[in-house]
Amino acid sequence: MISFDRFKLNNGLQVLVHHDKTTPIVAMNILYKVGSRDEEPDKTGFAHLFEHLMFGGSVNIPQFDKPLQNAGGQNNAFTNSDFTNYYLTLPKTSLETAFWLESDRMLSLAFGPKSLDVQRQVVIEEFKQNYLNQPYGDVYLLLKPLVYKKHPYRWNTIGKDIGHIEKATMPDVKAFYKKYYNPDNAILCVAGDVETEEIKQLTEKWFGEIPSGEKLQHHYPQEPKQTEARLLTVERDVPQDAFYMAWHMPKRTDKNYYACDLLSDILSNGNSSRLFRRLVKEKQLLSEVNAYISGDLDGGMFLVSGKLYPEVTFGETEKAVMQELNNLTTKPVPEEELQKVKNKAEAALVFSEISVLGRAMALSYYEMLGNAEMFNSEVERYLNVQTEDIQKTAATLFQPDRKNVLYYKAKKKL
Amino acid sequence: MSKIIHPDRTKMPQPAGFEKLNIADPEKIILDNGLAAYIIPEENQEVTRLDMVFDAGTSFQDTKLQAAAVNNLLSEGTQSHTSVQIAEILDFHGAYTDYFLTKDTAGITLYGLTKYYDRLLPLMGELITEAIFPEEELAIYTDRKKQEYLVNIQKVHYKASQAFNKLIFGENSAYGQVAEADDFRKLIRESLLDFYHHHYRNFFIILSGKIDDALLQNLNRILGAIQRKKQQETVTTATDFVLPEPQQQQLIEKKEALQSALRLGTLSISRRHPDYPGLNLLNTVLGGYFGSRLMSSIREEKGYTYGIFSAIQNHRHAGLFAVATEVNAKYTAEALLEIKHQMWRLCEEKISETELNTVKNYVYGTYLSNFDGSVRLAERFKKSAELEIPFSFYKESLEQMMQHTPDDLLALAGKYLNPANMKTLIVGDISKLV
Repeated sequence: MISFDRFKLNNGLQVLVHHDKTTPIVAMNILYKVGSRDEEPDKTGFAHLFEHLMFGGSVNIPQFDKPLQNAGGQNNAFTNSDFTNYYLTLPKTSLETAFWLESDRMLSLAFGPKSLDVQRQVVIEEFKQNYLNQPYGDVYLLLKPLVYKKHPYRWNTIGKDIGHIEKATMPDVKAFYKKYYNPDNAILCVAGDVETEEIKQLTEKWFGEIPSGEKLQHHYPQEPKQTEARLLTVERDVPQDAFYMAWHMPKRTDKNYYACDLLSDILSNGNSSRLFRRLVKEKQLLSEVNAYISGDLDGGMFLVSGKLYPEVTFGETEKAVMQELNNLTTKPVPEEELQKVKNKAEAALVFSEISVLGRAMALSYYEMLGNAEMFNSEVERYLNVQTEDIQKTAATLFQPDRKNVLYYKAKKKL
Repeated sequence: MSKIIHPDRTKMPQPAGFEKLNIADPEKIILDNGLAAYIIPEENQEVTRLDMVFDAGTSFQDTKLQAAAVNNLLSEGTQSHTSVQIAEILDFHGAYTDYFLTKDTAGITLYGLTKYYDRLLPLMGELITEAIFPEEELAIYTDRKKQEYLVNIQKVHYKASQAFNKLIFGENSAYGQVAEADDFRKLIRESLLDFYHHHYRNFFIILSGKIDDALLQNLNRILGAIQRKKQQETVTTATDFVLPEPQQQQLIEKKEALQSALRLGTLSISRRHPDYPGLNLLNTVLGGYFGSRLMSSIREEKGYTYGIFSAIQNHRHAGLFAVATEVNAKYTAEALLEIKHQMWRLCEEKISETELNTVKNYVYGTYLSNFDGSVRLAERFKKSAELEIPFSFYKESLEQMMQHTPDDLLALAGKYLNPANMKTLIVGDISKLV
């Protein structure tokens, strides 16, 4: 149970405060409700590039990191399809420095041309390091446009290709900032040995004068229902064949989200999971196997992937995987097995709230979903999933004509 | 409606002044069989972490991959439970296990809900006393790890780390040995059993998080009942740990690589050396944090890389200082020159008071955060015990670091960061570099 207080400034900034007397560290988390789904199809990768620019200096502070380090703090950020999250921790005695830093970059950036030039290059190196200069690195670049045809989820957060990042201009940067980096599009959470009254005063002082933005209208093109199975085969210079199968799953706030998450755990979380036991240990078709969900707000992907041993064919692998998936749609999952994955989900939630930063991030995330209070009732939603829910969800999910398959073939050496 | 305030945004609101760092030694208890258990309790938690640490790292093995295979196969079958049954017990109780391996130590870390520890502890006891390493499990393990290796060795950073380890410690030394593709098929069950019987008896325990009397009683009843054998010495002379290669530079071809992996470094002083705290501070200035000189220059100024850092790796019998990065292939030479230039600057120019203060504050803040909470304390304590240094070293080195002056750092840089003494390694499209 995480207790917290909440209040809202007149400019629309939503604030959450969590008290923990036991730590000398304070965590500040700011979530901006903007991600790669908000990008234009010809300017992908922008939300993430923008995240880099948020460290390139704001109107009164030439560099974000230096004063924070001087105050004994550390920080980082990440961007995904739906939101951008900035977080920092620092000693409680430096608390006000965090307000000064975060409010200044919400007030206005410095928009120096040097910062844009350099960060474009840094992001291109990030693109190469994680997606191009790695075996299997481009899988998501291939998979997302296979699974999504209309929704902006069809491109990756890093961008569709390096060209889009090279093309980003200063007017683009300014327009993006003006539209999305406003107090009424953000959630601030402070966690540590702090009092709500103290945080209220500091928030009013530092964030109070920042004007609200234009009211945002979100119209994301919704993904039409898939009616035909899709298959993409590529050949790359990698040591072994790999397969990736993906299905559309419900929105993050849908009640069937929880059944999907538990289904993926039944399939591959831990060494007693079904796919691991059957395909890796018993049949020895695969050297590794995974089932996981992406959990995006507008409906993510349910993925199953694995790497094939030499001499094993895609055909026999797919057949073996489908057999396991069909078992889930035709036979009820035993009570004990369902209990096992619920216990795992419960433990994972408890582990996630150990650090004060983990709690600040979780509260901000659930506030974005609708209400920070949802974090405390999340375990219940997992525990409420029944055997029938699992079977029904599996049947809806794994329909043959809604399957997306990527065969990633190892190029034969001559 | 509240009045809008316009604060002075031009100045940092308050200078840093930190709470004193208090690091208490964990309570040590001795179990009935003489095993030491260190206790780091924390209230308001439902989670407990257990570490069991053995002198069973890679430097103790007589064949490559032996230590790793034993560690990874602990949970793949015991006299009482099959691999599947063990997995079922762990998964059913939502427990996570981490089988860790360093050059010096190996063991198991268990994270679990405290309420299930009565069922998890007996299994932990079993893994370290009754593992049987079934042939069929070993075969599956070998096949899987070989495939994993073949994928990893295509990554420039993995290839660089492996090769650099050999270059620094010497490939025939206990610390410098690196497995190759061919070593996987050489693993045999007898050698695993042999290593297990010799190295998985003497150990120490760290228990952190929620701890109650029942848990402590269970700990003593189960782990305190293990029969202990006298450990055999496998590596005796210090020279075995390190046998440096004469070579100063190594270039490894990876055709068409978009980025080159760079490593620059040298053997370094041990954690016990009186110069260590100063070197640690210097390392932070050079490449130990986001605002470091390497990061500022090579990422934030020039945009050659997504990231660059330097670090001191501590082992019981040797240390390694290294700079590591992956850079845009076409700027490989420039990046290398710039790294050396930044080392040279530290040897030639005194660091400013302002920069030194920032680094000191940053270091102090990270210590506060690294020692916050029982889980982090357990991690730090484990590291110090693995290195066989007193836990109080952390606090003492922090105090020493806070005392260092620009003059001290200049002298230390001359001693330890001379670019002429660094070995260099590049993995990349070498033919296109010249």
